[in-house]
Amino acid sequence: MRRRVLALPILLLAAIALQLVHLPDAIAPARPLLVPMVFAYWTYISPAGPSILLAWLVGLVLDVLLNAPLGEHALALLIGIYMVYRMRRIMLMVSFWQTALVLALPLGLYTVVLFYIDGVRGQQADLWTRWLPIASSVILWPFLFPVLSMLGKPSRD
Amino acid sequence: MDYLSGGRRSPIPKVSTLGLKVIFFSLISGAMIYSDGKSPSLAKVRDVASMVLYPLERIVAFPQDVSDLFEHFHTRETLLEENRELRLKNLEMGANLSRMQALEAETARMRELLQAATTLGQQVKIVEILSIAQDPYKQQLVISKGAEDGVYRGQALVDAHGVLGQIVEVNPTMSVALLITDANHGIPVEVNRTGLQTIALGRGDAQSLSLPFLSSNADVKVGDLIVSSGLGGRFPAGYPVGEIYEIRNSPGEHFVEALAYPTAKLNQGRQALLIWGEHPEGTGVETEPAHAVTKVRKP
Repeated sequence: MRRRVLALPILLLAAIALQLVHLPDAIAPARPLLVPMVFAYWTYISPAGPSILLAWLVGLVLDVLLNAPLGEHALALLIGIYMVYRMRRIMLMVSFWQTALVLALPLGLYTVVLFYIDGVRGQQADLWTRWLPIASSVILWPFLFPVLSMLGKPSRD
Repeated sequence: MDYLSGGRRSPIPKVSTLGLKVIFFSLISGAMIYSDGKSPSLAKVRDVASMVLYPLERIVAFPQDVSDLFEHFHTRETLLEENRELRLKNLEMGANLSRMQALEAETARMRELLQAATTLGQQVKIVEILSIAQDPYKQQLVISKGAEDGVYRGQALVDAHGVLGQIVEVNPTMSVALLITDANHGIPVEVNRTGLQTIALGRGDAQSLSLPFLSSNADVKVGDLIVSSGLGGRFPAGYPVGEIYEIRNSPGEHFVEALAYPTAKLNQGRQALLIWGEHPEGTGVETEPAHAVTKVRKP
């Protein structure tokens, strides 16, 4: 429990920092969605779900750092977390490798929300590159699993 | 009445506390997104948050700073070599400069004759670029000067090769600039060879500009230099903006579209120049009070 309390801020800070690091142009559009992944794992392991207030605040931090309209990432993150929460039973049933595929759905919803808000605000985006982060996140998920398990193992109710 | 206390299904649908919290914070987020850019108190929240998060941005930029540091350790030979080359270049540039000064003086005289409002020799300041295009869909960069240095919204940002963009957001110690290649950016330009006035829009792909709706007999060629025209009062006139590389002429259309590469090195370099131009009244450009500009003039 003590380890978990320490691991969470470290993982979140690392995820936010990696969201900002300058990447070569060729792979920048495929930057994995690390912050949603940390929260997805947290939702996956705990029956009560993650702290919604913390998720909302982290979303606002992302908005400020990425110069997005305030609330955009926060809203997308909450909706994504809620979907993971509802799909938690499915994720517990399937094997460890299959959780990555299940995760593609909430990450897709997260991306759609961002895409929709950007679209309403007149920010054009290339449709094709929008989906690359989901693919890279799904591929990265099994490798990230050992790191994320610092937060704890999944518990069944 | 048994079914409320008993183990049976309650008639009220069960909503988890997590679901309630998600709905609550989502509504707040929705309201914030809606009022973003309209409410001044929200802008203050963003200001404070970006001040708090500034150390994080510096830490993330740290590896770049370290690699810059290593470049200082040159060997003696390379330094001597470089020194000699620079001396030669300096001589060459000096000669060019003296010619430029003559030309500038001549231009100034001619402008006086024409009673033109614009002047050459604007006040500039070198700023450090903290980060470039964190989001592949918005071509923006963050610079290390803010309202405390007299930066104002709409201010033009250039580098040694041409126009980079304009300031869209000013925080106390840093600002965000929108690059000319962003899909939401437009800049009034003229074709240097013919003086044709038009507008260059960003195409959102980080490397090219579009000059749409040129009349089909407009005199533009591949290789033409386009420069800022200064119309609209936001950008100073005469800075290079791009070079035309393709002219798209779709049959049946009344207009042709020209595509240009920006001359500024958008993804290279760590420094840029901010320009304090004079902004004519009534152009909608937000100006800082005069003392802010005089403050930076001090050495």
